[in-house]
Amino acid sequence: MTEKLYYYISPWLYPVMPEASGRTVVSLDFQALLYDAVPGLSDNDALTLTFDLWYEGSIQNTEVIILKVKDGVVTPRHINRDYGLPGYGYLHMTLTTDVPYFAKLEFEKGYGLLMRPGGGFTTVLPQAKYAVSVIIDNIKGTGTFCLVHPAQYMDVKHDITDSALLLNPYDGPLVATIMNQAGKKIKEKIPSGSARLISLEPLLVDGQQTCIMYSGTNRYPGWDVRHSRSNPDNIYNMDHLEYYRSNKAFRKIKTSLRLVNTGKRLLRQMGYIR
Amino acid sequence: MTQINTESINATAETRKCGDGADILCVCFGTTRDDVREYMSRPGCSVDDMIQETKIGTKCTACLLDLDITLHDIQQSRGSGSAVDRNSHIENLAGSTPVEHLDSAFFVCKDGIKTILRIANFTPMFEEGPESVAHNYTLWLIGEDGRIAVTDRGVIGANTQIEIDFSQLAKCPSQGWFLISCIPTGPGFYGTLRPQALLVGDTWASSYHVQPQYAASNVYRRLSIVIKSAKHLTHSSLYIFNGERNGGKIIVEVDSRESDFHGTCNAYVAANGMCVVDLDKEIASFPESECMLVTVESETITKKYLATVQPDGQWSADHFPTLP
Repeated sequence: MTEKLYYYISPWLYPVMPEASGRTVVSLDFQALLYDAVPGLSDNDALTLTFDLWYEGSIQNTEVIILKVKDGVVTPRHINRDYGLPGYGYLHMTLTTDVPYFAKLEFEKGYGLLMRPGGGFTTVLPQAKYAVSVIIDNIKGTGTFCLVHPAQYMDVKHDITDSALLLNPYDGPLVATIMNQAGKKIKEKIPSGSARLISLEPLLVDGQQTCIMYSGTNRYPGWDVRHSRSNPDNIYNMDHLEYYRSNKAFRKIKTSLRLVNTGKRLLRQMGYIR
Repeated sequence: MTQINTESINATAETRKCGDGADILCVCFGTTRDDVREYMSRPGCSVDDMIQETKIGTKCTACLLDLDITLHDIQQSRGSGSAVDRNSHIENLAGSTPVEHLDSAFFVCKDGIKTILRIANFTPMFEEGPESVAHNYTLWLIGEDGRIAVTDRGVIGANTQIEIDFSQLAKCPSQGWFLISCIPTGPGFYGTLRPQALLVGDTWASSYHVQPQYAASNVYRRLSIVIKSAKHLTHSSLYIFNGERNGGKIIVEVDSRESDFHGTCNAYVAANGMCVVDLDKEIASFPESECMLVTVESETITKKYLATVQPDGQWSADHFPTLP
């Protein structure tokens, strides 16, 4: 059986914040990443790694690095970079080659880091531009692209608020729709090649957690950004928005597996295992 | 700098709605879903010919996902152009088993910090539909010593949400880890049910996802995470919890990706317990400002979270990634 191989991986997108919020650090170990993505880690002297830094519809900076694989060793192995912008943008990372090479379009990524000016950091998970199986299944199962965060939060007295950072890495503009469980909506147009930090305060209730969902005229990556109300550049935490998951609640499984799972569940309910 | 000319794209772009056959599918070339359906209904048509003629998906490629779904629908319904059947999962349940989701994460309820677990159970964009189904839940709070301190049970109804403030649960330990089991009561989707933990302090709030308990590992994956030092400090702690009935040794290795720096420390995690490793306390001195890989080797299968306490007291937390 022939295994299908690809010439490229789905590009990765890292949010890049204003300098006042901190610098986005990207630290990648290509020995580990390619070991997982390339069967046998075969020789290749022309893996093209491209970093494009996007801001308000244009590329601010491009860097191209050629990776080589020889006898299972990737050179250079580690790539460390850090980025900042005047406002919100993103880093677009592509990895391509001129022969069928990668076993999958989308594979495991490490975290980026947002290094805060005063010290400390928060982790930032990059998102894939295409071919995310959870999103494909989401749309196939429900007909609606949908992201969700069940716990967005604002507390005026304690200077806590919440925003969403949404990217549009595609060639056309998109309109994002953000909605809370009471039916209140925000719509925001995001130009091509841009990022927007959208305050969720119109949808939040002071002191309460709120479930908020995201959709739009196209799919897009998004992050939950928790920050100070008085100083929005002071970011406490960033996390990717969760996907609506079209995993079926009931599935047909083998009787033997069902028995094992039932047994484990009983033992767990009785406190014997965790 | 490369400036993208969006004028021609904007001139032809229309606001799209999912599921509406008249909508634009490919913004770059103005191709609608109806165009695709019409083309594919021609005798002897092929996808390659359609793409060659319409150029759909050959420019920005953002529509390829939608095209794939549209072609899938056409194949399923063959010319009827029907929208996604949202009832397709309401099936004959004979022989079907409810899928239990068992997730875990750490928690902290001390020093002015509380942990609140939030589980929402809604349909996509809160629309009417059959996707949301009630789930029975069981929550266990487990202390660092591995003992179950609290058990809480309930139901998350369809199109509802629940919030559990751990600090309000009697006998909640000051810190530890928790297991949450959700089991559906009928057909539907898991949907929005993935629990989110919110850490709330006096002047800050952070949230993190739970991870499936089966993601616990001590080989190959989920062993490492990247951090970066600043002024010789990492401000980071590892929360390592153990789902096994045996305790085990923990070895933490920290290797710089920019120099020869290597640091290591040892710990022990009790059976079903949790240990906390404060990197700045356990390892003498870090480089001033370098990217480093933290790897946790454990005798038992463990789950790992990284918590960073910023110099001003704010927390940020995340689970170890699924990296090899």
